[in-house]
Amino acid sequence: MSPVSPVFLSLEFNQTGELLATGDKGGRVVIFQREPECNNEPYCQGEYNVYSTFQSHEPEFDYLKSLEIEEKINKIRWLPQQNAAHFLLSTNDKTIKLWKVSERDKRPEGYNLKDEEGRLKDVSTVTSLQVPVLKPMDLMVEVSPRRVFANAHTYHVNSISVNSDCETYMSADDLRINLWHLAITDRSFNIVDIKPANMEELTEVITAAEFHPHHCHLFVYSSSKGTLRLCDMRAAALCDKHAKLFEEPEDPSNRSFFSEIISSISDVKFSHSGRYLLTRDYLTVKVWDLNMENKPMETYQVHDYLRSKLCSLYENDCIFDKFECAWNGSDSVIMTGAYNNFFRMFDRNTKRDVTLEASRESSKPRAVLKPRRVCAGGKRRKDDISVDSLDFTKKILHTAWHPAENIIAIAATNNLYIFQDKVNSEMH
Amino acid sequence: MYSKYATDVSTQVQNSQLQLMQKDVDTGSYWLPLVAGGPKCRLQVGPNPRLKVGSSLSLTRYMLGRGVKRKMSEYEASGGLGPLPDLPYPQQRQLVLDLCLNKLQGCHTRAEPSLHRSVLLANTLRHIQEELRREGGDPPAILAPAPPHVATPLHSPDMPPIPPDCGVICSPTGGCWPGLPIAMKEPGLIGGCGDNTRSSDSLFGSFEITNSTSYLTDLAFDDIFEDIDTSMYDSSDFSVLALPPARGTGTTTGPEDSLKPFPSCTSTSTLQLCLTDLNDLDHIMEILVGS
Repeated sequence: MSPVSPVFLSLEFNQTGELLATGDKGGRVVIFQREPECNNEPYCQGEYNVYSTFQSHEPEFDYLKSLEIEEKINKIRWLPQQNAAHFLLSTNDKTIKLWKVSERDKRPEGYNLKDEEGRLKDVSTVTSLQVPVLKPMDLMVEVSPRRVFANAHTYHVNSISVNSDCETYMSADDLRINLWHLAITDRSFNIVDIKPANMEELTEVITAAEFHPHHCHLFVYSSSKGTLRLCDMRAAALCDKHAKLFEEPEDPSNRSFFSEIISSISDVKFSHSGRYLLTRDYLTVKVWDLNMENKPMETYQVHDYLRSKLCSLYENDCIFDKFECAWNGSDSVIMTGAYNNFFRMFDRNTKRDVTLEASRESSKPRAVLKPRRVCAGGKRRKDDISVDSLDFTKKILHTAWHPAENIIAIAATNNLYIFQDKVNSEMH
Repeated sequence: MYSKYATDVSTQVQNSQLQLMQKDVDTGSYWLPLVAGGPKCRLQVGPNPRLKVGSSLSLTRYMLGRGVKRKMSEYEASGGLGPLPDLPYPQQRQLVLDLCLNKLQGCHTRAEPSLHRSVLLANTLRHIQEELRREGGDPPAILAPAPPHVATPLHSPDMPPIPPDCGVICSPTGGCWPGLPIAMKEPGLIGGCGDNTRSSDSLFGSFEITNSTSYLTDLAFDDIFEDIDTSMYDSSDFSVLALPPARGTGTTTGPEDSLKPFPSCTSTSTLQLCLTDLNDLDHIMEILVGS
């Protein structure tokens, strides 16, 4: 099989930001590790290099339904680190796997019954006993599958989220959410089920789900109708009844045939503080206060110039693209991707926003990213891009922000870009 | 604050040599980036083949690369893309309805069937249907979920109707996705749509077609066997069955003698080959018949 370019489908920093895991369409996971900073050279500031690569999922065939189950990695989530090893969960459409990533830099030498190559020694040649000692060796990163959580999802898994209790996690598909214990693979609890008795009455699907970062009993899930439901697992075993419903009434002046489609929430993220929710729909990102259900606190336009192009975006299916969103470590800036390899950042405090481009031309080492502008008619400045010349095949669906520093990872189809704000390395 | 974003690291990944348990901690490898496609003016170029699958309308009309002139499409000629402000509302609606139907028909042929997408499409379709019905003044029975073998749906003169139970045609049943063949077998679904106009017939009809192996029905019978070389056995070059009269004095003639010369055979070697085969065949026949 000829080598295939990776199409990145998931990006995730671990809790310290030292590791960045990426999942691609071919079922592979590549983990990058940040080099320790060296104070001598000013530019040797913690580059990310490949730490480990492994094949997480393989394509499968469901013989009962005559369906191929793709190996593409939909989501990766790191577990909080509890010992020297790192653990992560990766999922394709059907199966979630727990992987252990550990380092080995020592090797025992001096066995009594085996020689250096591992062959058994002739016992009669052994005249004295020795205690094997650990000798240093070249660092080796070992990845091994520890758990396989299979056969719990009829529909395509779109989200996984580790609970703050570090013992359980949830997996969400289009119609159901299951709760797992990390140590138990042969059963899971169904906590949300929105499948109607009559499938012809199906009008809404689950698009994303996440646990609250601090409260282990709270989680949120988003729907294709643009609603968010906050559920409390203490209330009932089956959380079909939400504790809170976040929904913004539709603006009648913006109503069109595509209103429902563009209101579908493609991603939801709790803030690090746990106080806010960030949602992404087709044209906007919104910040919601957990205490206010009737409307979002803030709404940011990602690419409102597309509002007049919805029909053609509907025709070429771009209207169904699912963009993700991200908070920075201090919850003061939010980021999301767009088309033409653009990504956008919104500063919640200063209300300023910027459009940047992830491309090979703009990312030479030590080059500064230049803010871009999309011109939707009217006066056009130099270097502006007009809406009609945007490349809709170049979409940035996946972005990730380092939990503590101003380092971001951007997946642009089959290129991964890592950018750092050198002026302001510390979060503020 | 963000006006100075310095690119410290630009790591581009090529995975042609990815291996399990790679220890690459100190290689600091900057791999060659893969070029994400060729000329920017074509939508099809790029790593994602999914973009090629879509509605039957041309994709290259839209979303071209930078600075490339596009042909003005009928959408734009009508005053712009999107909500189509210049088209009368019914025509806008018809356009969206057509697109919707196209996409729903193509649902099961996509490489990646998506329940999310299908539900959104079905909702859009249902919304338009309801609007049309409200305008057409339907009897309320149509709006209720159709019981099995329900009667004729409304027929509105300017567009073929889709009754409510046919609206969610992509709904999986029995947990199967895409479970369209199974959905087709439900009596409620078929009964209600049985006497539809051509558009809903074609909607369901297309599902049936893709469910069967259509590649055989497309070919003429002879085409299937086109690539089998039958030249050796082709009897049009010579006539086998005509036997010459006995040569001589009543002795049984051998197979070689009973064959006429064949004027249509152009090459002697072919003739010899034919003769040899026929000899064998006759020989075998003689043994079998026992004469």
